[in-house]
Amino acid sequence: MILSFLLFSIGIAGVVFRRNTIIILMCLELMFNSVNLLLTAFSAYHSDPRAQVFVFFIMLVAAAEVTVGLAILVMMKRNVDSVDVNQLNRLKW
Amino acid sequence: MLAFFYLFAAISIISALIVVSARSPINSVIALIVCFLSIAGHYILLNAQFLAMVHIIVYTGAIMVLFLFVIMLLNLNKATEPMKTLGTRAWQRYLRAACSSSRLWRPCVMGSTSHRRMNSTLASVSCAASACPL
Repeated sequence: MILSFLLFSIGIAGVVFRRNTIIILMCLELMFNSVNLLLTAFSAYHSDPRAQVFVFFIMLVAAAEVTVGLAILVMMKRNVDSVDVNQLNRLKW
Repeated sequence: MLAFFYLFAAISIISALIVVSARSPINSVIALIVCFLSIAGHYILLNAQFLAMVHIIVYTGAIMVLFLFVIMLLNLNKATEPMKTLGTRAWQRYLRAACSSSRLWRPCVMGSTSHRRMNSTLASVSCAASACPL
């Protein structure tokens, strides 16, 4: 649990403190993995294999999410010509 | 068993720190692959072999290749963006607001034993805060 919490906090720190969009996506992956690890640890301690099915579906959703995120990143690079998230302030009111 | 757990934990945490702190995105991706492999080792230690195999295939086989493909497609492999430091404008504003609100604490600090030193530091901090306009 402490390992999972540390990985999650590192992921949050990366999302907050970096501006490169691709590193923010990697830190999102890190957070997904920490949650998966915590779920698997719980399923091992309770000897209940249903949580592993849940982790499997989380992995599939994370793969799809990364694909969409990288597509957004390619479009952002073509339109704004940068990967800095501070350049994406066009949707501000 | 426990030694393997600590080994994998140390590898995953150190490589996760490298992911966050690396300058180049390529180094970050390589460190993330190491982190995912160690997490797969954790899955094997937790008696979830199927999840470990799926993790290796999906993450280090598909997602990391996708990351590397996008990085090399968009020529992102030079570290262009500077790190977000504490010197940005919003953080300076927050620090100034916190320092100026510390004047309100001064009567509470008066009764402490080291009140002279605390008062001098607070006065200097509040003077510095009032010197620079918001």
